[in-house]
Amino acid sequence: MADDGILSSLRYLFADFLDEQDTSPPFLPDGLAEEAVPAVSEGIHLLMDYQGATYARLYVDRVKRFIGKIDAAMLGEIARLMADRMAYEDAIRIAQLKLAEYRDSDGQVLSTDIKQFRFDELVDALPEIAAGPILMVLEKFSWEHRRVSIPFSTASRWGLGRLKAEAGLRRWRLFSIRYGQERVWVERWLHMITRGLLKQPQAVSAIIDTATMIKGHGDAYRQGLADWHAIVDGLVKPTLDGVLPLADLAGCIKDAREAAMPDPRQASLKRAIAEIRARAIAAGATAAAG
Amino acid sequence: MGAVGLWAGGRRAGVRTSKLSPGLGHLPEKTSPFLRISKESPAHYDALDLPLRKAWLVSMDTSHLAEHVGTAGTLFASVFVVATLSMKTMIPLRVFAILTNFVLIGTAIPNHNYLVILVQTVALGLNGYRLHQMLQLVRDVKKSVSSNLSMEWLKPFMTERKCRAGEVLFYKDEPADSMFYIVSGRYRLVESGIELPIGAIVGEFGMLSPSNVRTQTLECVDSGLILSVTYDQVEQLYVQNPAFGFYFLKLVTARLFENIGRLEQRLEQQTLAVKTA
Repeated sequence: MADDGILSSLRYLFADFLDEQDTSPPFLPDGLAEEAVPAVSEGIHLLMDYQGATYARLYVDRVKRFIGKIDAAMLGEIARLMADRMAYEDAIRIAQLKLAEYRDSDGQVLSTDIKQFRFDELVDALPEIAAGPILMVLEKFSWEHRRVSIPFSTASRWGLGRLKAEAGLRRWRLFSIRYGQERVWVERWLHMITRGLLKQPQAVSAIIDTATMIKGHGDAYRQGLADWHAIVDGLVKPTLDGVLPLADLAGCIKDAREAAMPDPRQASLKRAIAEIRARAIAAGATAAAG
Repeated sequence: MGAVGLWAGGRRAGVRTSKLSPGLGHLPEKTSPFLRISKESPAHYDALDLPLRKAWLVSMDTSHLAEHVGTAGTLFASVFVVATLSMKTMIPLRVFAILTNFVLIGTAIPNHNYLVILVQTVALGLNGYRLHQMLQLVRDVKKSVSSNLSMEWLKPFMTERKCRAGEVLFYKDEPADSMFYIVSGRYRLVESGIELPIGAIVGEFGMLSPSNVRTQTLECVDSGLILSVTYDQVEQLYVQNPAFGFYFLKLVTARLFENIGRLEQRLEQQTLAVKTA
């Protein structure tokens, strides 16, 4: 009994290093509509595999916020897209997926994938305490945006060992800079949906769907994220704040998304947003004068 | 530590005497560290006469005494170390650590063990500073409970953070993990539209609330500076220092009652307004 106490104390002390977590998945939230059950259930399993039970519980808590406030189809969509975004693609995730592919094939699939990352993208996956000094050095030499090709290989014992080590970094993922950024992004997206429900319910579906703009890793991910912030900062937030009189927010989001090109300067997107804003302000002024 | 210094000091002095004075070869290797005669020439010691030898023996006795005192001191210090480690809370732990520092310094002085003296002096300063910080914290929280219910006493434990206009500090329904003190700038609670004044503390209830989630979204309207402290840090202070914990609970409860009072007053005004209408 006393041994149990000491052991459990030691396990608690070294929990972060041992990666010993509660392995039982969280229950589906009460009051969840039947239609949304498959999406939420799939999301829980994805996040159990991605990070663990605590992370899956955070997902369930986030889903709970919308139960009873939104229809089942939309809730299912939020659950699906949120699980995708919470299981964001970093080097750790790519190593996890590669290992899973190898294990599922009983060691038959031997392959090498080469992925391109930026230095800062790789370092962001480390805990903040370790990443901070490395980023400082990289910035000093202006190397943070340098690209590096990383092989993810199951073709050799060395490659497999490296994949296991990289996947093992999972236990510190929630302390990483990237996790902090992703957490803020998910909260901002959910906040826009919640406020949309109160101010423009007809635009909620379009706001939910904006999550599909962000995918993958590397340049595609950064472009999607920048475009998303441009649309939310330029159109969604001002409309929900009551600063921009946009009657058809959903239509405007659609137009802006169509204008988004794979261009780091976001020229066409910014132009489209400026035009929409100008039109809305002019219409608002006319309506006020009339 | 003290014991190591004592033996090392003795051995050093012993080597010098046996080398310098062959006539004293029968003397034990371990002699007093008080004997500092190394600067004299060997010829000087060849001419040592009997009274001087007697003086040597007297000082030898003193050295043995010092050695025993040193051993007793080390034992005493060890008892204090054990006592320090057995303390459950921070203030008695620091007090015992300070006593241990004094004993270890006292033990190291006769042996000229400068490294121990240096390390223990630094540790003494650190323990003294931390003890002062803890006592000041308890005093400030206690004072706050009986005066203006302010939480300014938390400022020394907070980290500065610059906020840009448009930045959101936290979102409604997000799990809460820290509280903030507004130093400069303008901040607005998005859902209620309330602007928070400079000097306001935000998020102190989240730490003790069962749901542990934010009830509103806080947005920075004009760029400024805030101080933040995580619940983990406050929890550490709470656990380390029961007196602080007690007064902290009293303070938060008092603030809660103050809020309830304000709400009751508002409700009363609304009821009155409805009745008048």
